[in-house]
Amino acid sequence: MPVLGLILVILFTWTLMLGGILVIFTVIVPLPFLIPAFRGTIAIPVLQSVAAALVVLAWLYSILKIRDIYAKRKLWK
Amino acid sequence: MELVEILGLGFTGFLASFILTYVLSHFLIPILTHRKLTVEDFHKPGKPRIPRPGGPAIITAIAAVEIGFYILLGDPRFLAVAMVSTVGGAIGLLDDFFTFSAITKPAALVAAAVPILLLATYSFRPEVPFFGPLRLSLIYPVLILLAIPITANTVNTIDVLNGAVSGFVAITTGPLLLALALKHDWILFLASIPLLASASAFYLVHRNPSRIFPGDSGCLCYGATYGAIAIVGGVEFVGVVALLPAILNSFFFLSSTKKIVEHREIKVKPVYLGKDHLIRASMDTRAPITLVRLIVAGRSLTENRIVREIHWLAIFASLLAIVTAFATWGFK
Repeated sequence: MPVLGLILVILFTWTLMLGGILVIFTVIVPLPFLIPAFRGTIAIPVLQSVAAALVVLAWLYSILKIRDIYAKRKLWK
Repeated sequence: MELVEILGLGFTGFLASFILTYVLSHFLIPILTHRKLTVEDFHKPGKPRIPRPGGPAIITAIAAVEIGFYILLGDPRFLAVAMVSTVGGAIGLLDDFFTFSAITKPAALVAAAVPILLLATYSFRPEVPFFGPLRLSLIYPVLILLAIPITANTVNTIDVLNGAVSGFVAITTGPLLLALALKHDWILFLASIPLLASASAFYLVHRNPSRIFPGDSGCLCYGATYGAIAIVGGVEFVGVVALLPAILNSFFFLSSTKKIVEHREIKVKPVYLGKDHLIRASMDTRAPITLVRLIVAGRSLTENRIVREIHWLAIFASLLAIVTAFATWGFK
């Protein structure tokens, strides 16, 4: 099944997406809730938006790295 | 609404959208051919000319059934999806005839997202797998304006070979339907059915050898409708996962060219048709990396085989999207 390589790329991309969500949301998102002064303020949606942006950026960067590895193996071997 | 009513309406909507797309596509083929609105099929020996665009059939079918649902049930979310499809398709139609630049097209597609904001048919609390709803009250409206051009263009980039995009959209609409059923959002469940039906019907005339191409109007309509359903239905993450093969394709392309360019502007093509009528990957390092180039890397394949592999990738991404849907709503 030659398409297996790309299936693995998709699986890896998906795992990174869920892993990124797990890590960043367990670290960044609960932080403002732990500080009583932040409760009910704009800090919570702002920090959550930053967390979401970080997930997307880290994810896109890792996709590029996966692509480079795959292209090196398959296209420029 | 009773489940029987939902299924009845869904079945009727499916039939209406399927028949409309199929009949209108057949109606368009002789008209487009007669008016010489045809383009070369680059990956065929002799490069035959194929009528394009089939988009008007797709736009009419999706919008008509969405508006029909709106008249019957009165929910503004049907109207939002219909308006996004129509505006997205109309921008594609202008591109089919007047050829927009690579920047103008996504910029114009921002207009397709406006109905969602105007009709206030979104929630700024998108649900994340494992964590439930986020609160993105400030950034979410801006993300909507970006999301529709992105989904529309992403789906457009997978329109590479005969039957690729129509089959891809038909497959990847499945997880959206399942996620909406898990959420018990039957309105958006019904709103997704015209997309599934239209893509399935168009596949019959678009598969190899194509009798008609969807053009940018058809592809942008599919992509904009997909994005609208994901946003209005609050199933954004499921949609992103299902579209992963197309997202990877457009992201690989974008990162190799380092700027937004149209496919027709590329000087070194990523793949070429060999004398044996098989498609091969270009070994030129200046050629952009695309999904098709990676599929044929190190081997040569027929057009049918490549499309089948794209559809396998879509099926796999759809399975992952289903797992994502269960990780989000399955335990409630």
